Amino acid sequence: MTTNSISKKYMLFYINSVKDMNAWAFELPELKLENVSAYLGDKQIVKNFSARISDGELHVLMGPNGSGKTTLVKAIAGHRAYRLEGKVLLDNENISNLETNKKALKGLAIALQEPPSLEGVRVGEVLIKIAKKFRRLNDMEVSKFVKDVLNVVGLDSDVLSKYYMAEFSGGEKRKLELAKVLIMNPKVAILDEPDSGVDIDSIPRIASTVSKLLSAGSSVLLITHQFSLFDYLRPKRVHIMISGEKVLESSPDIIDELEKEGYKVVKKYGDRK
Amino acid sequence: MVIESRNLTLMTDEVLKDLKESDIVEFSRLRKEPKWVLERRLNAYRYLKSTRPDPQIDPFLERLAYRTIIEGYLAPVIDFNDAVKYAEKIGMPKEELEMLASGLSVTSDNRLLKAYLKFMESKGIKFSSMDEAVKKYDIIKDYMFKLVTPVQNRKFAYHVMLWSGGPFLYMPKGVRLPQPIYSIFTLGLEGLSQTEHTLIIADERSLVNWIEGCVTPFKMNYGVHLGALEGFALKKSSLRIVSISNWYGNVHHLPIKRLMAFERATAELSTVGFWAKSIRIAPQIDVVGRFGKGVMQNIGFYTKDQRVHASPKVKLIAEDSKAMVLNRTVVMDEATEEFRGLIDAKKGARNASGFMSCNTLILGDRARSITVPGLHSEEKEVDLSHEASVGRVDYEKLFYLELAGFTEEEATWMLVSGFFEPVLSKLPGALKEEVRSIVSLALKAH
Ligand SMILES: Nc1ncnc2c1ncn2[C@@H]1O[C@H](COP(=O)(O)OP(=O)(O)OP(=O)(O)O)[C@@H](O)[C@H]1O
Ligand SMILES: [Mg+2]
Repeated sequence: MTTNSISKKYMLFYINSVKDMNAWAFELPELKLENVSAYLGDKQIVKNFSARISDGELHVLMGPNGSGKTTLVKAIAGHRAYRLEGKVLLDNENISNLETNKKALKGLAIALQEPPSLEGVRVGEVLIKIAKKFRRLNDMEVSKFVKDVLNVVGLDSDVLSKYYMAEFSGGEKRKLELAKVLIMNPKVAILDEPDSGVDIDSIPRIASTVSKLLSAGSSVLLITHQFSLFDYLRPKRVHIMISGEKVLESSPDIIDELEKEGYKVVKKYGDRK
Repeated sequence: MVIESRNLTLMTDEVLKDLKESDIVEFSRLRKEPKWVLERRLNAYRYLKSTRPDPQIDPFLERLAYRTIIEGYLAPVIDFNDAVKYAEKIGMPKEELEMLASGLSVTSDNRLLKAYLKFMESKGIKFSSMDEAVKKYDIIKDYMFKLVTPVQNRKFAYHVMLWSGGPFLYMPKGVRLPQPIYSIFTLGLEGLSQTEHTLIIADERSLVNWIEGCVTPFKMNYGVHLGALEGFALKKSSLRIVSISNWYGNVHHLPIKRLMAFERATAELSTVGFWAKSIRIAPQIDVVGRFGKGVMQNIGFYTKDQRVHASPKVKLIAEDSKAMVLNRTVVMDEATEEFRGLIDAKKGARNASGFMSCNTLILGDRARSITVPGLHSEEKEVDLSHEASVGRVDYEKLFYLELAGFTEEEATWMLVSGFFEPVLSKLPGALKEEVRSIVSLALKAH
């Protein structure tokens, strides 16, 4: 039995369970959005969005291009281009007005749809610093841990010496974002299209990464256009956003219809209501 | 007349008038210099007498002249204890601390220093203080003050008239030493001078990496630094110099740097500039041999009310010669930077090529930067190009790092050190990690 095989299989779970012991004992991680609106100047992009994602659940947010999904995510995180209204509650604590990095430290991790390039900054430098922030590991453990996580998302550890994003393909960027989120050991993870631009073989891997997060106790909000993911993942709830508004929240049963008919099914559901 | 170097506002322009030719002769005699050195000093003196003062630099230098010549103020005291304390505080690597410590005991029973000199000697490398070298080695006469001439401009003239100390290095033909040589070792020989002269001769096919200065800000009991470096990269040699400056308090930094690259040789000057009250630098590389190459790189991190004027120049004189000028600076607080780079292809530099890239990152609302890249050519078949940018830290990048739990400040420093990386990564292997760690130490200490 090698340490390698132990760590690969159990490290994520082990570390999460130790760290979250307290949380486990009292309450499970939960993200609650209450009437969240996001404004760009005077323009309202997201309108009164509410949702409740609790105890290790997987929720999916879908909607046409430009409907406001990414804007919602960035506004929740505190991006300064957007004015946020409404409440963002993490384990019943209102974190709406916290600084972006404080939200992260409270347990909110976000994989961005379009992460920027960090010129001259190396992947190893960033991931290892993140790991040191979020995990109680010594210097030796930390670099091994980061390598294991890269392995989980399907990246070679030689990416550590590459420049952040600049030297990555679109698909590799998505994987790196997932690695970042795994390292952060979050209560709640929001993944903004972690599947766009990745090759067909990577879809199951992304799905299994999401499963890892869930089994480590994170609640996950997944934004996607990719129906093939649902061959591997079964969300608890599906939220549909059109033109900045949540028009529907449903059980995953809607997914097949949605795949066949597109967003006009929403209307049908509306009529049924 | 009371002259206090720290208090530069007490300037009087009578100083130079008080200085007589006989003072220079006496100064040279006390130093037991060969006659040719005295002649250069006198040339410089006469040049200063016959030209008009430069209001930008004379106020600093006249006082320096008076102190050096009349008050015999030759060996400024470095407060090594302060330096070592500071070094420990910022977690300086052990090697650099040891080198600092070697400066603590100027006596000859310094084992580290002795071993180092012995090693150099075994390779045939000449490494000594300039004061000694001018008396000992004939070869010096053919090189010293050839690039930094006594009659080029007032700054050079002041330097030639006043120089004392500094290191001399001669790399024999074909000797290649990739591990860097630290000029800081010469501190152990004689203490640091205010007007030191560094002369480096890389003979044919030799290779040398030279690091001068160090990240620790030395506490000096003077206000102006007017050191000069002359470097010769002879045929097929490679001469690479990294010059780090980080001073303490009100030091005005006016270094002179001149290099020359001969046939198929590379002369490279990398400057890393941190604190000095003001920096006024116009380094120059002349590429005089066919297929020769001149590379000038600068990393600058300017803070508080620092004033920086940098005008690096690579002069292409030979056919098929090459130039590269890279400048990456971060300007913050109320600091101001004026950068005017020039690649100058002279008549005869057929088929020469050059590239200049200057990028400045401005932090905060009060810092200022003017960046003017210049390309000039007297030949037709010359390929020169440049890129330049002055910008701020991109919020999307900060946001990205803040999302990962970093504070705005932590995120900014990560991006700043990344901003320097393109220059750092171009340094030769042996120097790369060295300078990288020096830069990160200095950023940490900030
Ligand atoms: N910073 C901005 N500047 C200008 N317009 C913006 C900005 N941010 C968002 N928008 C606009 O808000 C709308 C919603 O964009 P958003 O990126 O949130 O959509 P999305 O649902 O994530 O789309 P996709 O599925 O294509 O990722 C778009 O019309 C977009 O142009
Ligand atoms: Mg989007």
